[in-house]
Amino acid sequence: MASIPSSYGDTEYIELNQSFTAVKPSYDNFAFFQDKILSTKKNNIDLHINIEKRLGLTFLFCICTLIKLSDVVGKRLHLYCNEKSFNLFKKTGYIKKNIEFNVGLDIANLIEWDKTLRIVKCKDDVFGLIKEITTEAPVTMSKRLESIFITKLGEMFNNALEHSEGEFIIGGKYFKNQKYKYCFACYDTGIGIAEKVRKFIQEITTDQEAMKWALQKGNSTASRESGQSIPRGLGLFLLKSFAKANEGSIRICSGSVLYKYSKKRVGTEENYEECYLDLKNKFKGTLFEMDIIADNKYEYNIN
Amino acid sequence: MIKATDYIQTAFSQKDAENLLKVIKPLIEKREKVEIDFTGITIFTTLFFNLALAQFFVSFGPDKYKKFFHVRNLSDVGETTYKHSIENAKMYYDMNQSDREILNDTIKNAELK
Repeated sequence: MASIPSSYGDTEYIELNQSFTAVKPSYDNFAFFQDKILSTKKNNIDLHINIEKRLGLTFLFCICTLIKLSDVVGKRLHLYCNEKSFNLFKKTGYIKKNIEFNVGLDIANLIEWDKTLRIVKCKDDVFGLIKEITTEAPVTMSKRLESIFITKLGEMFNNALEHSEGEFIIGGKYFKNQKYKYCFACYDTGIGIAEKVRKFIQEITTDQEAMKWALQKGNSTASRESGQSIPRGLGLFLLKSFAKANEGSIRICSGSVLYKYSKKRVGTEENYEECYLDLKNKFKGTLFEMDIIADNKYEYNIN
Repeated sequence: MIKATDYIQTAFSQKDAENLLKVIKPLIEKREKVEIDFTGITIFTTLFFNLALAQFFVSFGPDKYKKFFHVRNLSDVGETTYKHSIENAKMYYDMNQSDREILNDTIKNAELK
């Protein structure tokens, strides 16, 4: 991990110069930087992205979420990057394509929050945004599959809004692997799945146990206005089925746990497996990512 | 018979559930049967069913619910989602009263912290 230069005046200086890809150490490292931002006593944070190797698009999205995370704790994040990272911001549509690179440009002010990145504050915004994701996804779906996809995403987003007790950001709609995969990532700035479950079930003590409980069909900590709680927990269970049907994958990161559901090759066989990986640093909020195969030539159906 | 599409376009959100409840509640108050035709509705969530219907399963119990509430013409997605909502409601209903109180108190205390 890079050493952190000392801060100056009322500004904390943080540099990201290592690779960030969809592997456990990256989530661990990112959680470390989240903590730096949340724990600084300085009012301003200068975040410098000087990554020359790989910067996964999910982590580009996560970097944007740091702006909102800083807002939540009353800090001001300034974002500067090298040309390679700057071009990624343009490529994903997070900043306008006509902006020219300048090493001193604070791109935190240039993020287009109402375009590729969207903020959802209440449940009534959710349906429109899910329709947008479904329409943009470069997958030809049967009507039936589209209904199921929207239903299942709706379950997941509604759960997130109830659990997060905070803002909820949808973003990171992008292609991977030369447009072979379509991905979207969502992040909420709330207390995280594990913390919420532990408040609800005192017997659960670890983040990993909490995540396992939350992902089981039928479990939910959601409460209704009437005070009664009816278990839900359907969304994630069904999304796993959907991911499997479409050769996709799911990753959920919250607290000290990274959950992965993806295809694993063992010898000549490929099977879907889930795993719960412990992080050394606590990831703030909850990050959900889903990949699906982007294949317009084939109309996806589901049995 | 309540034709769902007269009041909602999707069975997705809390707002959708509230719109349908405006029609359901007067019938309950008059002790009339609630029959809902979901023809034309293709998008569903358990959130919607929990708020619009499953809460009555918990309040009235399974026998009374089956007697007074009927849903028709759900798509297969709707059927699965509705069934899940009712199964979960049954699970909650079957909890004994003290377990429910513990559950509700825990939720309330968690929210206030």
